[in-house]
Amino acid sequence: MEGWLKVFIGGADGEEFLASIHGRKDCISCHGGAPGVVSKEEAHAGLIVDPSEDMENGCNAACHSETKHYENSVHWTQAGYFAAFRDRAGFDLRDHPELAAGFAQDCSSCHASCGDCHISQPKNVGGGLISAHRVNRTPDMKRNCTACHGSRVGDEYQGLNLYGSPDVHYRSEAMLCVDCHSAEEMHGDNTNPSTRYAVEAMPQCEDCHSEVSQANSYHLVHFDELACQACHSQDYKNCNACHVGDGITGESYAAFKIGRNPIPELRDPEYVVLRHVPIASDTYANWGQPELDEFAALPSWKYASPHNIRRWTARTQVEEGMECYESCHGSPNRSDGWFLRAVDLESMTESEREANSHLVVPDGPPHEW
Amino acid sequence: MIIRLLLVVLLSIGMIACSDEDDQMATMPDVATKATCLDCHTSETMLKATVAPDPPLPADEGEG
Repeated sequence: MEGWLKVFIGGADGEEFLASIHGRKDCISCHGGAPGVVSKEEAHAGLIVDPSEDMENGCNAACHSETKHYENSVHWTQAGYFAAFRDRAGFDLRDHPELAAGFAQDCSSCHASCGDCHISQPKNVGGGLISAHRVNRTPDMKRNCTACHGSRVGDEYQGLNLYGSPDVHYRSEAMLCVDCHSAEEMHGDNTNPSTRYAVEAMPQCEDCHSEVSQANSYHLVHFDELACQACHSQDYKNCNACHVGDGITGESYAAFKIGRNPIPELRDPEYVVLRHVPIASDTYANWGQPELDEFAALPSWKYASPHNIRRWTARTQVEEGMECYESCHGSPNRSDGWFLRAVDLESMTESEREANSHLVVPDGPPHEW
Repeated sequence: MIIRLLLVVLLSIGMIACSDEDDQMATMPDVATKATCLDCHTSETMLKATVAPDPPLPADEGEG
């Protein structure tokens, strides 16, 4: 997006904005700056680029009481980052200025204000007004949602990776992010969750597929113990480069692993899809934290929700002549098998093995576990 | 007759050129007399002339 277009209020969208309740407000009342001057520099003195960053006096305080809980949502708080660091380090990084500065530099751009979803593109992709400052009730899927959630969710959902097909729900762009992810989920529910999986309003497949638990013999047997994605998602991206420091610099890769549920307190299935995250004990060394003393407190295989659902996948389809259960029940005890087994931990450090050992399933076919 | 026709064509071209220039000028706010926020931010010409190019974004895959 060209720089001038990022701040241009023109065209039909611009006219619509200027005629709207937001557009009729005096610009300076929200954005600051200096009135009655001549130069750009003078006019922009004290400019507030994103007024919605001010939770005390911004959108929610001014008019939008319906989103007053947003200050507790993970989009705003980034609580998941702090919780993961705290669990692995044994203390809160925000209590240490040097670490807080590292976070501000490397991680804080993933924080989203009201404006990042409803007015402009998010700051971490360069910002810029989406519809000439028109306030969009519904965020734009590609310019807002997948602008941040693009490298895994967005690309997989749209089938833009070299592996896999688009998610069945995306066929002909039939369903956009907001069709499943409600405003209630995005704006928070005042529970101050430390992970998105703790948000009550997070969507479930059964919200739409209400009768599916009895749909076929596989569902009758496995519905309560297996996450839907274990059968119905395709291979998905596992990131392999950390966002801070130089510790892990590999290329991301597509893989598929079913293991024990790492968050049974939040999600029901006993077996879920797992993705490996690029974390090492020295990940934050360049922030001044050489080692994470409690690294084994959290697994590096995380609960995953791949957005590449299909009815027919490598799990649900078998070659002609094979028994219907062979895809899963015949999966080998090797690292190229579909289950997270002891063999997958062999190349890990001792502390990472310890962190993940409770997620591993036994060798052998599932009906013998 | 041909000369008259030629004069009419040349005059028309001249008027079109002037008209384009006038349009350009019309979209430039008169900053010398204290332009408002909207005077500049609704002017494509002004913004193209004054907005500095963005620094390149870091090459980052992002978490999501």
